[in-house]
Amino acid sequence: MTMKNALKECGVFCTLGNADLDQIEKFSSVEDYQAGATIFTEGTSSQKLYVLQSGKVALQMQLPNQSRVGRRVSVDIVTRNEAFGWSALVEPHLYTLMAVCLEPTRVVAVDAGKLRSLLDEDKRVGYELLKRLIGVVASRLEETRHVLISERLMVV
Amino acid sequence: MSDSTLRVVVASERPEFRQMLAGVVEREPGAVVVGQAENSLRALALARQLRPQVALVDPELPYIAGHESQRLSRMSGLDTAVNISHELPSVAAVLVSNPQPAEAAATGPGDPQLWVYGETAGARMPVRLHDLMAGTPAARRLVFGGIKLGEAVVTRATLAEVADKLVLCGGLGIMGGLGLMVTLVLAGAGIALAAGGAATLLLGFAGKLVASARARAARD
Repeated sequence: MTMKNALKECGVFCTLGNADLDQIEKFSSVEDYQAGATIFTEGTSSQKLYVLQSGKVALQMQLPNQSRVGRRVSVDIVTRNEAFGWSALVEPHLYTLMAVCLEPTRVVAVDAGKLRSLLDEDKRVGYELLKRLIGVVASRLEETRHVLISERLMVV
Repeated sequence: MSDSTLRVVVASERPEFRQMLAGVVEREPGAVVVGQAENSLRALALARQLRPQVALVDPELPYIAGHESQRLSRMSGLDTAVNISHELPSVAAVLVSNPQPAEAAATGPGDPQLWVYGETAGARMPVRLHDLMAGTPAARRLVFGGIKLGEAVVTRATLAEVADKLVLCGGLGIMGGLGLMVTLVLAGAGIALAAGGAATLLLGFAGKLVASARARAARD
């Protein structure tokens, strides 16, 4: 699958036109990772926005201290066609989570600096992409809330 | 249980996957399942309590106990494997991906084979549980792998199914044969009865003829 097609199948980029995707493809690259590899760690500069083509990636949060639940907690698992590393589009552009591959993983990595420049230059593309991104983030938040409630009800 | 027995804890919310993991252990001589956990908290508790050498963990393990239909965060497998390997460095923690539905459908319900990812990207290496204990504890801390459903055992399963069908067919054949034999015996008795009846009937008609002849002679 070409990078352009991979972007097109992702919920964040799917409404962009071919010309816009061609532009984004120019500053994107395919990256492969082994199972267990770390794609990025929290606190580091978020230079890329990722779209998962194959494999599975766990997003983990570092706990301040060693606790009953351990040092790290997985807060999400990214599957095919999902975007991750959203911090690349949100100031201060630092990753807030750590991304660890659960399986051999292939991603399309979009250069965040160039993507931000494109969004600044072309407000239409910027509006469309951020609108989609907010939609995806909102649905993830909704799912997290349901899980939170479900688990809390069980503890009572 | 001897000292050389390899002690294994398996962890998955899904009973069928736990069974599959336990099957991997049971088929390996000298390995035994000492505990089964359905969530992360239980898996950690069992690892601390039972001190296994190997922990086989489903990546989609929920953190706490719940029903399969409930919307739990089923993503604690990695955390569990990491925590076990950090807290108990002698344990080889294996994160075991479930076979994909398409893969399972293609191979059928065969004997599962454990594999781990090799050095080459994406390479899958079949592995024995005892092999996981090789090397230093640091080297075996956390391993990523999966389950493959073996084709050889699928053949064995097919043979077993065929044998079952043969037994069923044989039983039905015996039952049918016995029924036929009873029918034939009864048919023989029926023929004899009918023959006797016919002879009796003829005798009766003959007697009637003789009686009417005598009556006619007496009138004349």
